[in-house]
Amino acid sequence: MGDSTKTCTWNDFCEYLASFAADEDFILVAQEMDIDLGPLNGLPEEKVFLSSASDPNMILNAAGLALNGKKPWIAGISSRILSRSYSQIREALALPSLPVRIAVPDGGLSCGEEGASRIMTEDLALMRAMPNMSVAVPSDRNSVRGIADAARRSEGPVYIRLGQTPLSQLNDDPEGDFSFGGARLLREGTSVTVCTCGIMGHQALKAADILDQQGIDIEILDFYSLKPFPEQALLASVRRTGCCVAAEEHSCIGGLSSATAECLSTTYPVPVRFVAIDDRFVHSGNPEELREYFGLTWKEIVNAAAQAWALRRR
Amino acid sequence: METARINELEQIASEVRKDIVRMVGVARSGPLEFPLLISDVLVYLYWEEMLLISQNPKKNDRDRFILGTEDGVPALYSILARRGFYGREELWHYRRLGAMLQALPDFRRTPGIDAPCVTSGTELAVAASLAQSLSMEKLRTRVFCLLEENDCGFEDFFHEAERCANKKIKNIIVIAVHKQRSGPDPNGLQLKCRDRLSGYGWKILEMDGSDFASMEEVFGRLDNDGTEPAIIFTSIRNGRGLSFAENDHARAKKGLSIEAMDRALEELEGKSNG
Repeated sequence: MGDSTKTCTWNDFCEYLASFAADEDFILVAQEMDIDLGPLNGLPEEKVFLSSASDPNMILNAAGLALNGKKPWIAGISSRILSRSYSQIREALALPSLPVRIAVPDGGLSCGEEGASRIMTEDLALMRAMPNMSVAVPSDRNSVRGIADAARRSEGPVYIRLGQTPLSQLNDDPEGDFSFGGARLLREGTSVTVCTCGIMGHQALKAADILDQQGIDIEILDFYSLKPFPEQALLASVRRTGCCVAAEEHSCIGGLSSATAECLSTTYPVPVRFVAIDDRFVHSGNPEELREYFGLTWKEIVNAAAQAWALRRR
Repeated sequence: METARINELEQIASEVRKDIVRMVGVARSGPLEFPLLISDVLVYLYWEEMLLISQNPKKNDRDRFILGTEDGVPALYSILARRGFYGREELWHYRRLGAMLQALPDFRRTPGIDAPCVTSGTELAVAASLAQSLSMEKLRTRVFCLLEENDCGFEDFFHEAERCANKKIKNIIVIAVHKQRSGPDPNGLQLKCRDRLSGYGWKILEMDGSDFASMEEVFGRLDNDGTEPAIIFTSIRNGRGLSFAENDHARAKKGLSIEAMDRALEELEGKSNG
């Protein structure tokens, strides 16, 4: 494992975004006093578009800016952007495929104290199902930077789920390729393919040490690009291991679990186990407690990997 | 405006209305009443007011038009065809599989379409940020946004309207069309809207959207050196649409049978001759 300094992906993102704010087509769209923008607060006035206190208007403002050749970055609370403005995202951004990037600071359970109405455990499902939308989930500082670069080059809309949970570096490759449609190999193995995104890559690495002692050598892939989904990376791994576990901080419906199952069931059927939140609303609480409560830790990955391995395709 | 020019514009509007009936008739679906009502306004904008070049529809310093209601789409298609952005034959494929003229404008495929048409929300926010962005580039480009007056009653609209006034976005002109069918101002919406907008600092104007002389007079009053955004409350005289469409909204929405299309064309022919 790489650098032990822990940072949250949202702060990494704000810091990195500020570094290329001088781009001619850069503009940040946000609402006043809505979220902590860190170093982005210091951007010049012409680089920040402050929307009115209406979430749908923020999306439509970004569309208007994109129509004049800008490539806006929207920063806003996930529950408000995705639920209150879903139809605006769909019709004004995705349908005309405008280059607008949506970044949310409160992905998964990382703002667990805010409670069920604010915690979107179905955000990836909503965005994945939307045509033309790319979906990315960074898991450390390197992937934040790589994904931001890929989004910067993108000509269509992108949803980036960030979080507030401090995370260490998953590997030491700052120059790694994070193009959309790719996956990052975190650990080579031969027994079970473990697909992760976001914080679950960190949990999977912990699980790997335990499973090693049981003679199960897991391969861990970080699916930072949930859409386009890196099918070839998954298939190449699963053809060697013969079984799969998908672990995500999201509902078991519509996210990485679904993407994995959709891909494998049609191309190379193998036993699959999911580590995800059941189809239910979550409670408010400390993020770490919530992850324990909803079964999103290395322990569940160990169990799921052992089960999948026992049933593996031989 | 000279009488000859008014007659010319009325003739164009009449042809536009007939094309709307034909395209909705051939498609057997699509809104009919509202497109017929706003035809005169669009003809005035596209022939008299807006700076645009059909041969170069993406020219950066052109004026922009944003249609804020899906009900008006056939009128815009018909106008763009007659203005030379594409051939009229495209109209007869309206709403067909693979056709350029989709039910909602495909902003990437259709020449002359400046923005996607959003069915759920006020397009004012799109128009306002586009206008603001254009003015920051020191372009004198104006953004015209046509909305149904009913869409001007939502809080999201007022939030954006307030922001427009605070930012002094002067190159945005909203045309809020009132459907006469629902009476002069049944819920006091227009009054409420006017009060709030003028409180924010908007310029409030009023015009008859079926009278070219009135339109010329109102657009002439838009002061290019002012600092405030403008809204033009536009009423349309009854009789600009079709007799049966004006009285039967549900039926008009369902599209036209061949017989109804013939009857509608006869009615429009009669109006343009008489």
